[in-house]
Amino acid sequence: MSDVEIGFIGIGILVTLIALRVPIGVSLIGVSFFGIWAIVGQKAAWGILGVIPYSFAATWQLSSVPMFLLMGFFCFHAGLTKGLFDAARVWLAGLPGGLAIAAVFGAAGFAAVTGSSVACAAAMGRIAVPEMMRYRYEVSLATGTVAAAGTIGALIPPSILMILYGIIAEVPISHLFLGGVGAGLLTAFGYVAVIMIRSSINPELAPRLTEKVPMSEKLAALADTWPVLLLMGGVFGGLFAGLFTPTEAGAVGAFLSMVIAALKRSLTWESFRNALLETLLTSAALFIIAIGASMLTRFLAFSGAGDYLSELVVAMGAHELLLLLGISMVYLLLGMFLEPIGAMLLTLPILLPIIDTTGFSLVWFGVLLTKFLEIGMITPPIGLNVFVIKGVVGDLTTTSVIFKGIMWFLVSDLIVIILLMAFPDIVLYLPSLME
Amino acid sequence: MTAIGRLLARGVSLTIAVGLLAVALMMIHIAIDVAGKFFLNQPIPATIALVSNYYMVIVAFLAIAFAETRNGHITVEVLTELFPMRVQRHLYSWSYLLSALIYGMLTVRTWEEAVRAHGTGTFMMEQGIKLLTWPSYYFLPIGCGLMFLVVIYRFLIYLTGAQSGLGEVPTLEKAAGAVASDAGEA
Repeated sequence: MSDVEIGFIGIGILVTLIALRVPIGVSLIGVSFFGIWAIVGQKAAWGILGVIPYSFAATWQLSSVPMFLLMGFFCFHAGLTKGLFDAARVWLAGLPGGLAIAAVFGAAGFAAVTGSSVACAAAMGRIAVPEMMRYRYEVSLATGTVAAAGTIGALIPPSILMILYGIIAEVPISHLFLGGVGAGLLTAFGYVAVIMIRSSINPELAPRLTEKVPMSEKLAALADTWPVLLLMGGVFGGLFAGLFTPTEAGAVGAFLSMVIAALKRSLTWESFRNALLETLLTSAALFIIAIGASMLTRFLAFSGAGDYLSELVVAMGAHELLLLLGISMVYLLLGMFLEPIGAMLLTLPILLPIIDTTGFSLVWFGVLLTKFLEIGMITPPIGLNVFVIKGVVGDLTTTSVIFKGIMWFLVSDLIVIILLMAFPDIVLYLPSLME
Repeated sequence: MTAIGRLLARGVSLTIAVGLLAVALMMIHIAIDVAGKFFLNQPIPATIALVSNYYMVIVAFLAIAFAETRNGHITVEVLTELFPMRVQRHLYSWSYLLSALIYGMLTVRTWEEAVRAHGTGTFMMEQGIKLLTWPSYYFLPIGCGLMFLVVIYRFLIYLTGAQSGLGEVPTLEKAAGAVASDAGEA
């Protein structure tokens, strides 16, 4: 059996194990260990098993993951979403579908303090859905909006997906973060357009609000968003000016959000402990997979399966567009079934060597990849954001109604993807300013 | 059996306590370092080495067993949830054995590495300050070893049908009640 064959058999076993619900981390480590054993020998496999876990985890760059997670959890518990939604609401309520649009802008604002789309959807869902229900918005529009708007959470910095991508692809995290701003805003405007068009055509979806809000109240609502503005300025000002490393930005952000939560009197001992606990739990679950992915990269490199694939792609003379189309299909499909971080860590060891042979910018590809994975959060049958919104709204509706509400947002997402591919500068303009 | 489970649960609680402390200290330590750097021109020495080699290692490895008891490890249920409940239960339980194999090997290997690092007195130099790093190597066999014991215990509970003393979140009820607790992922 040739090494390349062992590589592909390894990938086959990996997919089988994961499909049988063996934890992804265990599957990755096991397949990589025995694969390296089969190709290079027992000694090398045994050596890698001992060295990689420590050397992968004990890095400064990776420590930005728990810090940004912690910042997101503090902000979640601090209830910052209410201020954002209220401010967006008093300014936008007059538009067709105004409350839904406010939810999208609120989510985009909250995205700037959290790196997780599930947290973003949950936080906005709790505030915005009851309000939309009160004004007799159609259930599928109300719930679909917050589920979709949550995906902006991982596009606008910080983003846990982008940090992990940056570490694996060896791309500066600050460049990825800046690249995500364009993609995130474009996504938000796409969603706003969907809401406005749909509620203009069918006003029953979202009855117009008649209340008039005095200017003084509008300004007061805007002033209430100070915690988010302060966090954004402090954290990203420092990061993008090159003063902070991502880890420092995350730690300062976590610290500031803790102080803000305390000032707003929403920080209890319990919510403090929960934020730490969730950070610990999520980090541990992520890191073991990342360690496995790091071992898989070694295994595939030894087997030559990655090179084989990239040579195959080159030999086919596939047009770059065709390659992108293929990758898009793979991720749209994977996204339907896999949780995004798992999907990314599983596929990058195979995909990065192929991307390397093309002339694509790795920053651009990372942002595009994040966008794909986020679409996977709202496509059936497994759409984590939809399940979270279902959990938030309880008996109000079913997941299939929420998926129905998401359909038009998916159309907008596909247009966004096409735009990102056709005009890479949407992503690359801001990072280019840093150089 | 139940008593053994309680003992394991106590081990898990202990590792969480250390883990929580590490997360909180990591945040405070870095924040003070940044403040010191900008306002007093006086950073805390060896911050990077300490964060990478101690806080991060604790966060990555000590909570693995905790994540297991909370069903926090990332799995894919798309295919298996179509199976009858009975089949799912058997399948999931036998997969503990696979986890045990991997974490068992990890425990042995990382223990060997820790002993090696201990023997050579592994350290790091950062801005002229020497930080001993070998003690942190022992967090790996502790975390992986506890995880090994927890999955073996869960497998034995399945075989014997005994009452579990671990206080774990049952695997099969995950689909129904997991939504809220998953808010941290992705």
